[in-house]
Amino acid sequence: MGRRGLKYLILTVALIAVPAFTQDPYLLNLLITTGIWTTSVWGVRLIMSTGQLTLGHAAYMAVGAYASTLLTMKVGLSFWLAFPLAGLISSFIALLIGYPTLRIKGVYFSIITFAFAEIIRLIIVHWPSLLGGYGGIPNIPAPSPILSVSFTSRIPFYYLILAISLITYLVMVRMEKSRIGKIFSSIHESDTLAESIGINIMKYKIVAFCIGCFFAGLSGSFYAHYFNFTSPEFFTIWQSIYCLIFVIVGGAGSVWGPPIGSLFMTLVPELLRVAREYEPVIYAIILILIMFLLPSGLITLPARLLGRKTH
Amino acid sequence: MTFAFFVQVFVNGLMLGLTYVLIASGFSLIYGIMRLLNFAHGEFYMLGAFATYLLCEHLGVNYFIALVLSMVIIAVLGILVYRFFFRPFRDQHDPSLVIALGIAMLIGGLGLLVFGEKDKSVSPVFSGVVKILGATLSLERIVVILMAILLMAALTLYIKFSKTGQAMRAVAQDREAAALQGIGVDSTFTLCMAISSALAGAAGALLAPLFFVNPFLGMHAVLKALVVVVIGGLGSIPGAIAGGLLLGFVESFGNTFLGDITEILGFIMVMIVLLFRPQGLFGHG
Repeated sequence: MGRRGLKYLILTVALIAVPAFTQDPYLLNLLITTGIWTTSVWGVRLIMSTGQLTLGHAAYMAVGAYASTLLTMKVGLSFWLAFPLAGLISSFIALLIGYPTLRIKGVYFSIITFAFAEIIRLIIVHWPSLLGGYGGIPNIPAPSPILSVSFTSRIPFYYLILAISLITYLVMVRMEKSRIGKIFSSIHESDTLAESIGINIMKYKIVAFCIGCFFAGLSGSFYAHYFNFTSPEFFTIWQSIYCLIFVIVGGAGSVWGPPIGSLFMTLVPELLRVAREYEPVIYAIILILIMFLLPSGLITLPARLLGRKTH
Repeated sequence: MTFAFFVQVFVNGLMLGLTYVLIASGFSLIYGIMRLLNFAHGEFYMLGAFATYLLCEHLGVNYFIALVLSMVIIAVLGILVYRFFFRPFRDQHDPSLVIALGIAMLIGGLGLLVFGEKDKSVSPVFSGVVKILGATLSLERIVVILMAILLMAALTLYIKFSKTGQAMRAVAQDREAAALQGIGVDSTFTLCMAISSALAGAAGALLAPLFFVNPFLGMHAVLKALVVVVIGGLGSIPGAIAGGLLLGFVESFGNTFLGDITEILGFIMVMIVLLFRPQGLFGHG
Protein backbone atom coordinates (compact mmCIF):
# COMPACT_ATOMS: atom_id res chain seq x y z
CA MET A 1 0.00 0.00 0.00
CA GLY A 2 1.47 3.34 -1.05
CA ARG A 3 1.17 6.70 0.65
CA ARG A 4 -2.01 7.33 -1.23
CA GLY A 5 -3.59 4.11 -0.01
CA LEU A 6 -2.58 4.95 3.53
CA LYS A 7 -4.23 8.35 3.29
CA TYR A 8 -7.50 6.78 2.12
CA LEU A 9 -7.30 4.18 4.88
CA ILE A 10 -6.88 6.89 7.51
CA LEU A 11 -9.77 8.89 6.05
CA THR A 12 -12.03 5.82 6.00
CA VAL A 13 -11.14 4.90 9.57
CA ALA A 14 -11.71 8.51 10.65
CA LEU A 15 -15.15 8.54 9.01
CA ILE A 16 -16.03 5.20 10.62
CA ALA A 17 -14.85 6.51 14.01
CA VAL A 18 -16.91 9.72 13.91
CA PRO A 19 -19.79 8.40 16.08
CA ALA A 20 -17.25 7.33 18.73
CA PHE A 21 -16.36 10.99 19.23
CA THR A 22 -19.67 12.71 18.71
CA GLN A 23 -23.22 11.49 18.86
CA ASP A 24 -24.59 14.99 18.51
CA PRO A 25 -27.67 14.59 16.26
CA TYR A 26 -27.07 17.99 14.67
CA LEU A 27 -23.54 17.15 13.54
CA LEU A 28 -24.49 13.66 12.41
CA ASN A 29 -27.36 15.14 10.45
CA LEU A 30 -24.96 17.49 8.65
CA LEU A 31 -22.70 14.57 7.73
CA ILE A 32 -25.64 12.44 6.59
CA THR A 33 -26.92 15.33 4.45
CA THR A 34 -23.45 15.70 2.94
CA GLY A 35 -23.48 11.96 2.16
CA ILE A 36 -26.88 12.21 0.47
CA TRP A 37 -25.69 15.09 -1.70
CA THR A 38 -22.34 13.47 -2.45
CA THR A 39 -23.89 10.25 -3.75
CA SER A 40 -26.19 12.15 -6.06
CA VAL A 41 -23.60 14.70 -7.13
CA TRP A 42 -21.13 11.97 -8.12
CA GLY A 43 -23.77 11.04 -10.66
CA VAL A 44 -23.74 14.59 -12.07
CA ARG A 45 -19.97 14.44 -12.38
CA LEU A 46 -20.17 11.12 -14.22
CA ILE A 47 -22.65 12.60 -16.70
CA MET A 48 -20.41 15.67 -17.04
CA SER A 49 -17.49 13.41 -17.85
CA THR A 50 -19.15 12.74 -21.23
CA GLY A 51 -19.48 16.49 -21.83
CA GLN A 52 -23.16 16.76 -20.89
CA LEU A 53 -24.49 19.25 -18.36
CA THR A 54 -27.55 17.91 -16.58
CA LEU A 55 -29.79 20.59 -15.12
CA GLY A 56 -32.44 18.31 -13.65
CA HIS A 57 -30.67 15.89 -11.39
CA ALA A 58 -33.00 16.46 -8.44
CA ALA A 59 -35.82 15.05 -10.56
CA TYR A 60 -34.11 11.64 -10.54
CA MET A 61 -33.65 11.93 -6.80
CA ALA A 62 -37.39 12.59 -6.65
CA VAL A 63 -38.10 9.53 -8.79
CA GLY A 64 -35.96 7.45 -6.42
CA ALA A 65 -37.60 8.91 -3.32
CA TYR A 66 -41.16 8.40 -4.55
CA ALA A 67 -40.46 5.00 -6.11
CA SER A 68 -39.04 3.62 -2.91
CA THR A 69 -41.76 5.28 -0.81
CA LEU A 70 -44.47 3.64 -2.91
CA LEU A 71 -42.67 0.30 -3.04
CA THR A 72 -42.39 0.13 0.74
CA MET A 73 -45.72 1.72 1.69
CA LYS A 74 -48.07 0.50 -1.04
CA VAL A 75 -46.41 -2.69 -2.27
CA GLY A 76 -45.00 -3.64 1.12
CA LEU A 77 -41.45 -4.35 -0.01
CA SER A 78 -38.59 -4.12 2.44
CA PHE A 79 -36.40 -1.00 2.20
CA TRP A 80 -33.46 -3.21 1.32
CA LEU A 81 -35.21 -4.28 -1.87
CA ALA A 82 -36.91 -0.97 -2.61
CA PHE A 83 -33.61 0.92 -2.32
CA PRO A 84 -31.82 -0.69 -5.30
CA LEU A 85 -35.10 -0.78 -7.23
CA ALA A 86 -35.43 2.99 -6.74
CA GLY A 87 -32.03 3.41 -8.39
CA LEU A 88 -33.05 1.17 -11.28
CA ILE A 89 -36.34 2.99 -11.81
CA SER A 90 -34.49 6.32 -11.90
CA SER A 91 -32.12 5.00 -14.51
CA PHE A 92 -35.00 3.64 -16.56
CA ILE A 93 -36.62 7.10 -16.60
CA ALA A 94 -33.22 8.51 -17.57
CA LEU A 95 -33.12 6.08 -20.49
CA LEU A 96 -36.52 7.30 -21.71
CA ILE A 97 -35.38 10.92 -21.55
CA GLY A 98 -31.84 10.29 -22.71
CA TYR A 99 -32.71 8.36 -25.85
CA PRO A 100 -34.42 11.17 -27.79
CA THR A 101 -32.23 13.96 -26.39
CA LEU A 102 -28.72 12.52 -26.46
CA ARG A 103 -28.99 11.65 -30.15
CA ILE A 104 -28.75 15.36 -30.84
CA LYS A 105 -25.52 17.19 -30.17
CA GLY A 106 -25.44 20.55 -28.48
CA VAL A 107 -27.37 22.09 -25.65
CA TYR A 108 -30.58 20.10 -26.06
CA PHE A 109 -29.68 17.71 -23.29
CA SER A 110 -29.32 20.56 -20.78
CA ILE A 111 -32.59 22.10 -21.89
CA ILE A 112 -34.56 18.87 -21.72
CA THR A 113 -33.21 17.77 -18.35
CA PHE A 114 -34.10 21.23 -17.03
CA ALA A 115 -37.63 21.11 -18.44
CA PHE A 116 -38.21 17.49 -17.47
CA ALA A 117 -37.31 18.22 -13.85
CA GLU A 118 -40.24 20.61 -13.77
CA ILE A 119 -42.51 17.97 -15.34
CA ILE A 120 -41.65 15.49 -12.58
CA ARG A 121 -42.49 18.14 -10.01
CA LEU A 122 -45.80 18.91 -11.75
CA ILE A 123 -46.73 15.22 -11.88
CA ILE A 124 -46.11 14.92 -8.13
CA VAL A 125 -48.09 18.07 -7.43
CA HIS A 126 -51.06 17.12 -9.64
CA TRP A 127 -51.38 13.51 -8.48
CA PRO A 128 -52.20 13.85 -4.80
CA SER A 129 -54.04 10.51 -4.53
CA LEU A 130 -50.89 8.54 -5.29
CA LEU A 131 -48.01 10.94 -4.75
CA GLY A 132 -49.33 13.15 -1.96
CA GLY A 133 -49.42 16.42 -3.96
CA TYR A 134 -47.99 19.57 -2.40
CA GLY A 135 -48.35 18.16 1.10
CA GLY A 136 -45.98 15.29 0.44
CA ILE A 137 -46.08 11.79 1.93
CA PRO A 138 -45.49 11.50 5.69
CA ASN A 139 -44.68 8.46 7.86
CA ILE A 140 -42.34 6.75 5.44
CA PRO A 141 -40.96 3.77 7.36
CA ALA A 142 -37.31 3.67 8.37
CA PRO A 143 -35.28 0.76 6.95
CA SER A 144 -36.18 -2.51 8.68
CA PRO A 145 -33.57 -3.86 11.14
CA ILE A 146 -30.70 -5.65 9.49
CA LEU A 147 -28.05 -7.79 11.25
CA SER A 148 -29.82 -6.86 14.50
CA VAL A 149 -29.18 -3.14 13.89
CA SER A 150 -32.38 -1.14 14.06
CA PHE A 151 -32.67 2.31 12.51
CA THR A 152 -33.89 4.23 15.52
CA SER A 153 -31.07 6.77 15.95
CA ARG A 154 -28.93 8.74 13.52
CA ILE A 155 -25.89 6.50 13.97
CA PRO A 156 -27.08 3.54 11.84
CA PHE A 157 -28.22 6.03 9.17
CA TYR A 158 -24.78 7.58 9.30
CA TYR A 159 -23.13 4.22 8.70
CA LEU A 160 -25.60 3.35 5.95
CA ILE A 161 -24.96 6.53 3.96
CA LEU A 162 -21.24 6.14 4.61
CA ALA A 163 -21.38 2.65 3.10
CA ILE A 164 -23.43 3.91 0.14
CA SER A 165 -20.97 6.76 -0.44
CA LEU A 166 -17.96 4.44 -0.22
CA ILE A 167 -19.48 2.03 -2.72
CA THR A 168 -20.37 4.92 -5.04
CA TYR A 169 -16.82 6.22 -4.70
CA LEU A 170 -15.36 2.82 -5.60
CA VAL A 171 -17.66 2.54 -8.62
CA MET A 172 -16.66 6.03 -9.79
CA VAL A 173 -12.93 5.41 -9.40
CA ARG A 174 -13.16 2.01 -11.08
CA MET A 175 -15.10 3.44 -14.00
CA GLU A 176 -12.71 6.33 -14.44
CA LYS A 177 -9.73 3.99 -14.66
CA SER A 178 -11.41 1.44 -16.91
CA ARG A 179 -11.93 1.42 -20.66
CA ILE A 180 -15.36 3.02 -20.37
CA GLY A 181 -13.93 5.95 -18.39
CA LYS A 182 -11.37 6.56 -21.13
CA ILE A 183 -14.13 6.46 -23.72
CA PHE A 184 -16.15 8.97 -21.68
CA SER A 185 -13.23 11.37 -21.54
CA SER A 186 -12.52 10.95 -25.25
CA ILE A 187 -16.13 11.93 -25.94
CA HIS A 188 -15.70 14.88 -23.59
CA GLU A 189 -12.54 16.01 -25.42
CA SER A 190 -14.12 15.82 -28.86
CA ASP A 191 -17.24 13.90 -29.67
CA THR A 192 -16.67 14.25 -33.40
CA LEU A 193 -13.22 12.69 -33.08
CA ALA A 194 -14.52 9.92 -30.83
CA GLU A 195 -17.26 9.22 -33.36
CA SER A 196 -14.75 9.10 -36.21
CA ILE A 197 -12.78 6.31 -34.56
CA GLY A 198 -15.91 4.22 -34.31
CA ILE A 199 -17.18 4.99 -30.81
CA ASN A 200 -20.95 4.96 -30.56
CA ILE A 201 -21.05 8.24 -28.65
CA MET A 202 -24.80 8.22 -28.15
CA LYS A 203 -24.66 4.81 -26.46
CA TYR A 204 -21.95 5.91 -24.05
CA LYS A 205 -23.64 9.22 -23.26
CA ILE A 206 -26.83 7.31 -22.43
CA VAL A 207 -24.89 4.80 -20.30
CA ALA A 208 -23.27 7.65 -18.32
CA PHE A 209 -26.63 9.38 -17.91
CA CYS A 210 -28.38 6.20 -16.71
CA ILE A 211 -25.63 5.33 -14.22
CA GLY A 212 -25.52 8.92 -12.95
CA CYS A 213 -29.28 8.86 -12.42
CA PHE A 214 -29.07 5.45 -10.73
CA PHE A 215 -27.07 7.09 -7.95
CA ALA A 216 -29.50 10.02 -7.86
CA GLY A 217 -32.27 7.45 -7.32
CA LEU A 218 -30.37 5.75 -4.49
CA SER A 219 -29.72 9.10 -2.88
CA GLY A 220 -33.39 10.08 -3.17
CA SER A 221 -34.54 6.77 -1.70
CA PHE A 222 -32.24 7.15 1.31
CA TYR A 223 -33.44 10.73 1.71
CA ALA A 224 -37.09 9.68 1.93
CA HIS A 225 -36.48 6.89 4.46
CA TYR A 226 -34.11 9.00 6.52
CA PHE A 227 -36.45 11.98 6.90
CA ASN A 228 -39.55 9.71 6.90
CA PHE A 229 -41.09 12.29 4.61
CA THR A 230 -40.98 13.29 0.98
CA SER A 231 -42.41 16.34 -0.73
CA PRO A 232 -42.07 18.09 -4.10
CA GLU A 233 -40.48 20.99 -2.22
CA PHE A 234 -37.32 18.93 -1.75
CA PHE A 235 -36.86 18.40 -5.45
CA THR A 236 -37.24 21.77 -7.13
CA ILE A 237 -35.30 23.25 -10.01
CA TRP A 238 -33.08 24.94 -7.41
CA GLN A 239 -32.05 21.57 -5.98
CA SER A 240 -31.16 20.36 -9.46
CA ILE A 241 -29.00 23.38 -10.02
CA TYR A 242 -27.41 22.89 -6.61
CA CYS A 243 -26.28 19.41 -7.73
CA LEU A 244 -24.43 20.96 -10.66
CA ILE A 245 -23.06 23.81 -8.57
CA PHE A 246 -21.69 21.40 -5.94
CA VAL A 247 -19.64 19.62 -8.61
CA ILE A 248 -18.25 22.87 -9.97
CA VAL A 249 -17.50 24.33 -6.53
CA GLY A 250 -15.75 21.12 -5.46
CA GLY A 251 -14.06 20.64 -8.82
CA ALA A 252 -15.30 18.58 -11.76
CA GLY A 253 -11.80 17.40 -12.59
CA SER A 254 -11.44 15.12 -9.59
CA VAL A 255 -13.52 12.35 -8.08
CA TRP A 256 -13.03 14.24 -4.78
CA GLY A 257 -14.78 17.31 -6.17
CA PRO A 258 -18.34 16.14 -5.37
CA PRO A 259 -17.71 15.24 -1.68
CA ILE A 260 -15.70 18.42 -1.08
CA GLY A 261 -18.29 20.57 -2.86
CA SER A 262 -21.16 18.89 -0.99
CA LEU A 263 -19.47 19.22 2.39
CA PHE A 264 -18.52 22.85 1.81
CA MET A 265 -21.96 23.83 0.55
CA THR A 266 -23.70 22.01 3.39
CA LEU A 267 -21.49 23.66 6.01
CA VAL A 268 -21.46 27.25 4.73
CA PRO A 269 -25.15 28.08 5.39
CA GLU A 270 -24.84 26.39 8.81
CA LEU A 271 -21.71 28.33 9.72
CA LEU A 272 -23.30 31.59 8.60
CA ARG A 273 -26.38 30.68 10.68
CA VAL A 274 -28.79 32.16 8.17
CA ALA A 275 -32.35 31.29 7.30
CA ARG A 276 -33.02 28.88 4.43
CA GLU A 277 -34.24 31.68 2.17
CA TYR A 278 -30.69 33.00 1.93
CA GLU A 279 -29.40 29.70 0.54
CA PRO A 280 -29.82 30.42 -3.21
CA VAL A 281 -28.13 33.81 -2.86
CA ILE A 282 -25.20 32.40 -0.88
CA TYR A 283 -24.78 29.49 -3.28
CA ALA A 284 -24.94 31.81 -6.28
CA ILE A 285 -22.28 34.10 -4.80
CA ILE A 286 -19.99 31.17 -3.97
CA LEU A 287 -20.47 29.76 -7.48
CA ILE A 288 -19.68 33.08 -9.14
CA LEU A 289 -16.59 33.61 -6.95
CA ILE A 290 -15.35 30.10 -7.68
CA MET A 291 -15.91 30.54 -11.43
CA PHE A 292 -13.82 33.70 -11.45
CA LEU A 293 -11.14 32.89 -8.89
CA LEU A 294 -10.79 29.12 -8.84
CA PRO A 295 -12.35 27.72 -12.02
CA SER A 296 -11.20 24.16 -11.34
CA GLY A 297 -12.89 24.12 -7.95
CA LEU A 298 -11.91 23.96 -4.29
CA ILE A 299 -9.96 20.77 -4.93
CA THR A 300 -7.27 22.89 -6.59
CA LEU A 301 -7.08 25.37 -3.71
CA PRO A 302 -4.15 23.71 -1.85
CA ALA A 303 -2.07 23.51 -5.03
CA ARG A 304 -2.94 27.14 -5.77
CA LEU A 305 -1.89 28.28 -2.31
CA LEU A 306 1.31 26.22 -2.30
CA GLY A 307 2.12 27.32 -5.83
CA ARG A 308 1.82 30.95 -4.84
CA LYS A 309 4.06 30.47 -1.84
CA THR A 310 6.94 28.80 -3.64
CA HIS A 311 7.01 31.13 -6.62
CA MET B 1 -68.71 24.82 -27.53
CA THR B 2 -70.32 28.03 -28.72
CA PHE B 3 -68.54 30.24 -31.21
CA ALA B 4 -68.28 33.11 -28.71
CA PHE B 5 -66.62 30.76 -26.23
CA PHE B 6 -64.22 29.60 -28.92
CA VAL B 7 -63.29 33.20 -29.66
CA GLN B 8 -62.70 33.80 -25.98
CA VAL B 9 -60.37 30.80 -25.65
CA PHE B 10 -58.68 31.74 -28.91
CA VAL B 11 -57.99 35.31 -27.77
CA ASN B 12 -56.67 34.02 -24.45
CA GLY B 13 -54.38 31.67 -26.33
CA LEU B 14 -53.24 34.50 -28.58
CA MET B 15 -52.39 36.67 -25.60
CA LEU B 16 -50.63 33.88 -23.75
CA GLY B 17 -48.79 32.92 -26.93
CA LEU B 18 -47.67 36.48 -27.62
CA THR B 19 -46.26 36.80 -24.12
CA TYR B 20 -44.31 33.59 -24.68
CA VAL B 21 -43.16 35.06 -27.99
CA LEU B 22 -41.91 38.22 -26.27
CA ILE B 23 -40.00 36.25 -23.65
CA ALA B 24 -38.69 33.55 -25.99
CA SER B 25 -37.62 35.85 -28.82
CA GLY B 26 -35.16 37.69 -26.56
CA PHE B 27 -33.90 34.37 -25.26
CA SER B 28 -33.53 32.99 -28.76
CA LEU B 29 -31.82 36.16 -29.99
CA ILE B 30 -29.10 35.70 -27.35
CA TYR B 31 -28.62 32.06 -28.27
CA GLY B 32 -28.60 32.77 -31.99
CA ILE B 33 -25.98 35.50 -31.75
CA MET B 34 -23.97 34.71 -28.63
CA ARG B 35 -24.47 30.92 -28.43
CA LEU B 36 -25.44 31.37 -24.80
CA LEU B 37 -28.44 29.87 -23.02
CA ASN B 38 -29.25 32.87 -20.88
CA PHE B 39 -31.01 31.37 -17.88
CA ALA B 40 -31.09 34.84 -16.32
CA HIS B 41 -33.51 35.94 -19.04
CA GLY B 42 -36.54 34.87 -17.00
CA GLU B 43 -35.27 36.86 -14.03
CA PHE B 44 -35.05 39.96 -16.25
CA TYR B 45 -38.71 39.40 -17.05
CA MET B 46 -39.49 39.08 -13.33
CA LEU B 47 -37.58 42.30 -12.59
CA GLY B 48 -39.41 44.07 -15.43
CA ALA B 49 -42.70 43.18 -13.77
CA PHE B 50 -41.44 44.38 -10.38
CA ALA B 51 -40.05 47.60 -11.87
CA THR B 52 -43.48 48.34 -13.31
CA TYR B 53 -45.12 47.43 -10.00
CA LEU B 54 -42.83 49.77 -8.04
CA LEU B 55 -43.12 52.60 -10.56
CA CYS B 56 -46.89 52.42 -10.86
CA GLU B 57 -47.97 51.47 -7.36
CA HIS B 58 -45.35 53.21 -5.22
CA LEU B 59 -44.25 56.20 -7.31
CA GLY B 60 -47.51 56.77 -9.13
CA VAL B 61 -45.92 56.88 -12.57
CA ASN B 62 -48.19 56.62 -15.61
CA TYR B 63 -48.35 53.00 -16.83
CA PHE B 64 -46.95 53.65 -20.31
CA ILE B 65 -44.07 55.68 -18.95
CA ALA B 66 -43.45 52.87 -16.46
CA LEU B 67 -43.39 50.39 -19.35
CA VAL B 68 -40.72 52.36 -21.18
CA LEU B 69 -38.73 52.97 -17.98
CA SER B 70 -38.86 49.25 -17.13
CA MET B 71 -37.50 48.42 -20.57
CA VAL B 72 -34.66 50.91 -20.13
CA ILE B 73 -33.81 49.74 -16.60
CA ILE B 74 -33.75 46.07 -17.59
CA ALA B 75 -31.74 46.83 -20.74
CA VAL B 76 -29.11 48.61 -18.64
CA LEU B 77 -29.09 45.68 -16.21
CA GLY B 78 -28.64 43.30 -19.15
CA ILE B 79 -25.65 45.28 -20.40
CA LEU B 80 -24.07 45.27 -16.93
CA VAL B 81 -24.60 41.52 -16.53
CA TYR B 82 -23.01 40.97 -19.92
CA ARG B 83 -20.01 43.21 -19.22
CA PHE B 84 -19.21 41.83 -15.78
CA PHE B 85 -20.35 38.22 -15.88
CA PHE B 86 -20.94 36.88 -19.38
CA ARG B 87 -18.07 38.51 -21.25
CA PRO B 88 -15.28 36.86 -19.23
CA PHE B 89 -16.70 33.44 -20.23
CA ARG B 90 -17.66 34.46 -23.75
CA ASP B 91 -16.05 31.70 -25.76
CA GLN B 92 -16.42 28.94 -23.18
CA HIS B 93 -19.59 27.02 -23.75
CA ASP B 94 -20.31 25.24 -20.48
CA PRO B 95 -18.90 27.90 -18.12
CA SER B 96 -21.03 30.58 -19.79
CA LEU B 97 -24.12 28.45 -19.24
CA VAL B 98 -23.19 27.87 -15.60
CA ILE B 99 -22.50 31.56 -14.95
CA ALA B 100 -25.92 32.37 -16.46
CA LEU B 101 -27.49 29.89 -14.05
CA GLY B 102 -25.59 31.51 -11.20
CA ILE B 103 -26.85 34.96 -12.15
CA ALA B 104 -30.40 33.61 -12.46
CA MET B 105 -30.12 32.12 -8.98
CA LEU B 106 -28.63 35.31 -7.59
CA ILE B 107 -31.35 37.55 -9.02
CA GLY B 108 -34.15 35.08 -8.18
CA GLY B 109 -32.84 34.61 -4.65
CA LEU B 110 -32.37 38.34 -4.07
CA GLY B 111 -35.84 38.96 -5.49
CA LEU B 112 -37.28 36.58 -2.93
CA LEU B 113 -35.40 38.28 -0.09
CA VAL B 114 -36.22 41.83 -1.17
CA PHE B 115 -39.81 41.48 -2.40
CA GLY B 116 -40.98 38.51 -0.33
CA GLU B 117 -42.94 35.56 -1.68
CA LYS B 118 -46.36 37.24 -1.50
CA ASP B 119 -48.12 38.04 -4.75
CA LYS B 120 -48.22 41.71 -5.70
CA SER B 121 -50.60 43.21 -8.18
CA VAL B 122 -50.52 46.23 -10.44
CA SER B 123 -53.89 47.95 -10.77
CA PRO B 124 -55.47 47.50 -14.19
CA VAL B 125 -54.82 50.23 -16.73
CA PHE B 126 -57.90 49.70 -18.90
CA SER B 127 -60.95 48.42 -17.17
CA GLY B 128 -63.47 48.24 -20.01
CA VAL B 129 -64.56 45.27 -22.09
CA VAL B 130 -65.09 44.97 -25.82
CA LYS B 131 -67.39 42.62 -27.67
CA ILE B 132 -65.83 40.89 -30.64
CA LEU B 133 -67.73 38.21 -32.59
CA GLY B 134 -70.05 37.74 -29.66
CA ALA B 135 -67.29 37.20 -27.13
CA THR B 136 -66.68 39.58 -24.24
CA LEU B 137 -63.00 40.41 -24.01
CA SER B 138 -61.27 42.68 -21.55
CA LEU B 139 -59.72 45.74 -23.11
CA GLU B 140 -56.58 45.12 -21.06
CA ARG B 141 -55.89 41.87 -22.90
CA ILE B 142 -56.49 43.44 -26.29
CA VAL B 143 -53.99 46.17 -25.45
CA VAL B 144 -51.40 43.58 -24.41
CA ILE B 145 -51.93 41.71 -27.68
CA LEU B 146 -51.52 44.89 -29.73
CA MET B 147 -48.43 46.02 -27.82
CA ALA B 148 -46.81 42.61 -28.17
CA ILE B 149 -47.45 42.56 -31.92
CA LEU B 150 -46.05 46.09 -32.19
CA LEU B 151 -42.86 45.13 -30.30
CA MET B 152 -42.32 41.96 -32.33
CA ALA B 153 -42.85 43.86 -35.60
CA ALA B 154 -40.33 46.47 -34.48
CA LEU B 155 -37.82 43.75 -33.56
CA THR B 156 -38.24 41.91 -36.84
CA LEU B 157 -37.92 45.09 -38.93
CA TYR B 158 -34.93 46.20 -36.89
CA ILE B 159 -33.02 42.96 -37.37
CA LYS B 160 -33.92 42.77 -41.03
CA PHE B 161 -33.25 46.32 -42.18
CA SER B 162 -31.12 48.33 -39.78
CA LYS B 163 -27.35 48.42 -40.13
CA THR B 164 -26.79 47.11 -36.58
CA GLY B 165 -29.48 44.47 -37.08
CA GLN B 166 -27.66 43.23 -40.16
CA ALA B 167 -24.45 43.21 -38.17
CA MET B 168 -26.19 40.99 -35.61
CA ARG B 169 -27.20 38.52 -38.29
CA ALA B 170 -23.68 38.55 -39.68
CA VAL B 171 -22.22 37.79 -36.26
CA ALA B 172 -24.79 35.02 -35.80
CA GLN B 173 -23.79 33.43 -39.11
CA ASP B 174 -20.03 33.58 -38.74
CA ARG B 175 -18.40 35.48 -35.93
CA GLU B 176 -14.90 35.56 -37.40
CA ALA B 177 -16.01 36.56 -40.89
CA ALA B 178 -18.13 39.33 -39.39
CA ALA B 179 -15.18 40.58 -37.35
CA LEU B 180 -13.05 40.60 -40.51
CA GLN B 181 -15.66 42.83 -42.17
CA GLY B 182 -15.11 45.36 -39.40
CA ILE B 183 -18.15 44.46 -37.28
CA GLY B 184 -17.41 44.87 -33.58
CA VAL B 185 -18.38 41.53 -32.09
CA ASP B 186 -18.31 42.82 -28.54
CA SER B 187 -20.47 45.86 -29.26
CA THR B 188 -22.89 43.64 -31.20
CA PHE B 189 -23.16 41.32 -28.21
CA THR B 190 -23.74 44.27 -25.90
CA LEU B 191 -26.48 45.59 -28.14
CA CYS B 192 -28.00 42.13 -28.39
CA MET B 193 -28.09 41.80 -24.59
CA ALA B 194 -29.69 45.25 -24.34
CA ILE B 195 -32.42 44.46 -26.87
CA SER B 196 -33.13 41.02 -25.46
CA SER B 197 -33.30 42.34 -21.89
CA ALA B 198 -35.52 45.24 -22.94
CA LEU B 199 -37.92 42.72 -24.51
CA ALA B 200 -37.95 40.70 -21.27
CA GLY B 201 -38.59 43.91 -19.33
CA ALA B 202 -41.42 44.82 -21.71
CA ALA B 203 -42.98 41.39 -21.30
CA GLY B 204 -42.84 41.77 -17.52
CA ALA B 205 -44.35 45.25 -17.68
CA LEU B 206 -47.13 44.16 -20.05
CA LEU B 207 -48.16 41.19 -17.96
CA ALA B 208 -47.87 42.89 -14.57
CA PRO B 209 -51.42 44.32 -14.62
CA LEU B 210 -52.89 41.01 -15.83
CA PHE B 211 -51.25 38.49 -13.53
CA PHE B 212 -49.78 38.55 -10.07
CA VAL B 213 -46.20 39.67 -9.66
CA ASN B 214 -43.94 37.48 -7.53
CA PRO B 215 -40.25 36.48 -7.45
CA PHE B 216 -40.96 32.98 -8.82
CA LEU B 217 -41.99 34.35 -12.22
CA GLY B 218 -38.43 34.17 -13.53
CA MET B 219 -37.93 30.42 -13.40
CA HIS B 220 -41.39 29.85 -14.78
CA ALA B 221 -40.71 32.19 -17.69
CA VAL B 222 -37.37 30.67 -18.57
CA LEU B 223 -38.92 27.19 -18.62
CA LYS B 224 -41.57 28.38 -21.07
CA ALA B 225 -38.91 30.11 -23.16
CA LEU B 226 -36.90 26.87 -23.37
CA VAL B 227 -39.95 24.90 -24.49
CA VAL B 228 -40.77 27.53 -27.10
CA VAL B 229 -37.27 27.79 -28.56
CA VAL B 230 -36.82 24.03 -28.85
CA ILE B 231 -40.16 23.73 -30.65
CA GLY B 232 -39.46 26.72 -32.90
CA GLY B 233 -35.75 26.18 -33.42
CA LEU B 234 -32.92 27.43 -31.22
CA GLY B 235 -31.75 30.88 -32.24
CA SER B 236 -34.53 31.56 -34.73
CA ILE B 237 -36.83 34.56 -34.23
CA PRO B 238 -39.56 33.27 -36.61
CA GLY B 239 -39.24 30.00 -34.70
CA ALA B 240 -39.79 31.79 -31.39
CA ILE B 241 -42.90 33.46 -32.85
CA ALA B 242 -44.34 30.21 -34.20
CA GLY B 243 -43.37 28.18 -31.14
CA GLY B 244 -44.70 30.79 -28.72
CA LEU B 245 -48.06 31.09 -30.47
CA LEU B 246 -48.37 27.32 -30.77
CA LEU B 247 -47.67 26.82 -27.06
CA GLY B 248 -50.07 29.64 -26.17
CA PHE B 249 -52.94 28.09 -28.15
CA VAL B 250 -52.20 24.56 -26.94
CA GLU B 251 -52.19 25.74 -23.34
CA SER B 252 -55.28 27.89 -23.69
CA PHE B 253 -57.36 25.16 -25.32
CA GLY B 254 -55.75 22.51 -23.14
CA ASN B 255 -56.65 24.36 -19.95
CA THR B 256 -60.23 24.62 -21.14
CA PHE B 257 -60.64 20.97 -22.07
CA LEU B 258 -58.03 18.96 -20.21
CA GLY B 259 -57.31 20.85 -16.98
CA ASP B 260 -54.14 20.44 -14.96
CA ILE B 261 -52.47 18.01 -17.34
CA THR B 262 -52.02 20.89 -19.82
CA GLU B 263 -48.80 21.98 -18.13
CA ILE B 264 -47.20 18.79 -19.40
CA LEU B 265 -48.38 19.24 -23.02
CA GLY B 266 -45.62 21.72 -23.87
CA PHE B 267 -43.05 19.20 -22.77
CA ILE B 268 -44.65 16.40 -24.78
CA MET B 269 -44.55 18.69 -27.84
CA VAL B 270 -40.84 19.23 -27.20
CA MET B 271 -40.17 15.51 -27.09
CA ILE B 272 -42.11 14.95 -30.32
CA VAL B 273 -40.16 17.74 -32.02
CA LEU B 274 -36.86 16.27 -30.83
CA LEU B 275 -37.78 12.82 -32.12
CA PHE B 276 -38.95 13.89 -35.56
CA ARG B 277 -37.51 17.33 -36.28
CA PRO B 278 -34.70 17.98 -33.81
CA GLN B 279 -33.70 21.30 -35.36
CA GLY B 280 -37.14 22.68 -34.49
CA LEU B 281 -39.87 23.97 -36.79
CA PHE B 282 -37.81 26.86 -38.13
CA GLY B 283 -34.27 25.77 -37.35
CA HIS B 284 -31.63 24.92 -39.87
CA GLY B 285 -30.44 21.31 -39.95
